[in-house]
Amino acid sequence: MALLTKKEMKHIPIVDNEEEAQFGRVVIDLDNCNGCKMCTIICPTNVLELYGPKHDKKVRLKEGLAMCLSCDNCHAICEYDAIDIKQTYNFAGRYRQINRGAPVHPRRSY
Amino acid sequence: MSDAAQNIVETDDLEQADQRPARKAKPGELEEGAPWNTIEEAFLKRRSIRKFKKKQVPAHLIRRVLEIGRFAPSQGNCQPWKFVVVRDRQMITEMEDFCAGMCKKISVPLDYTLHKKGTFARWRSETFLKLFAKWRPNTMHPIPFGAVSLIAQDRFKVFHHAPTIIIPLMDTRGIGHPQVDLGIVGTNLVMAAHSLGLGTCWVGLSSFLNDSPEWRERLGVEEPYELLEAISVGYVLGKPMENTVARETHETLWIEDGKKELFY
Repeated sequence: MALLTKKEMKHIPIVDNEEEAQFGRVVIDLDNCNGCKMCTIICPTNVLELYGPKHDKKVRLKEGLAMCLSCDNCHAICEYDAIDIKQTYNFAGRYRQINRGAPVHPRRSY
Repeated sequence: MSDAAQNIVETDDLEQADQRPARKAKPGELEEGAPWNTIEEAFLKRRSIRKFKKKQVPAHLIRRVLEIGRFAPSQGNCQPWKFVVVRDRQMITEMEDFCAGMCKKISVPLDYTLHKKGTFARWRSETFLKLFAKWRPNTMHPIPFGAVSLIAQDRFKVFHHAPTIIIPLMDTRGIGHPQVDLGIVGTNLVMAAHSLGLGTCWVGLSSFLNDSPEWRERLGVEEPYELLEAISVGYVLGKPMENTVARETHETLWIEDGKKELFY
């Protein structure tokens, strides 16, 4: 029994249809975020943006089609531990993620 | 006394060895939960870098990185690779422009996100994409598709303005799976560069250069060599390599003592 059916293997998902394509989601700790802008610079797909008043800017995912790769580079560069990924990308049909667990940081004991 | 006799250790010595105070554990004897060693940490903290400083990397560092690449394992020791190093800014810009041009050409018929839902143009692009995906399904994954459309809109550059590009060319006559050997040599290059404090990024969209006769000539790609990927190298902007990242756990099938177990 194959993990994907033949029908699924033939199905190519449409990117801007929310039912077929989920992109990465980030969780932002607003108390720690000081709007230093590093994550928006490092983001490979340019999906983070600053918002808010001039001296109290915070970061957020852009609205609309934000193709977050869930690469977590924003977490790696953040000196204040204010951002991390909550959800990784997943698509319907041929590109569905299979045999995966939730995103986890390196573990030394099991 | 012969050499063999010198190597014999008396039994008393071995018993004493067991009673010695705790010594530093050798690799392979580490207990669960022990801290990461230097090499493990290097692998965990390597990031793909997409923002580089303008400063050029000294030539001797690049040669040093290539030297580590030379000692990568390969099937039957066939070493199916050859390196091209591009450090000419003008040429890198031209390579970027060429790849961006190709991305634009591709995204005109394929990028359906440019059109409103329900229009004829949208339907046409979607249909064309689905046909294209039948021919090359791996390239039409939504993520590289997104990258192509970002490049077509000039929102980022293919080689990320890196000062040096290393291109490992694959010898198509390699034993078994030369693509895998190319990946291994690339990993050696990337990790060697990381250990020297350089940032690297694999650039898959550089394979457009392989299909262009002009660029094949300019980069010295001739039969039986092929250009699959390129690696951008440069000094890192900011401190992206201080922390580790989260990654999905993958299902592992563990077979031992006649039992099969799954874990994540």
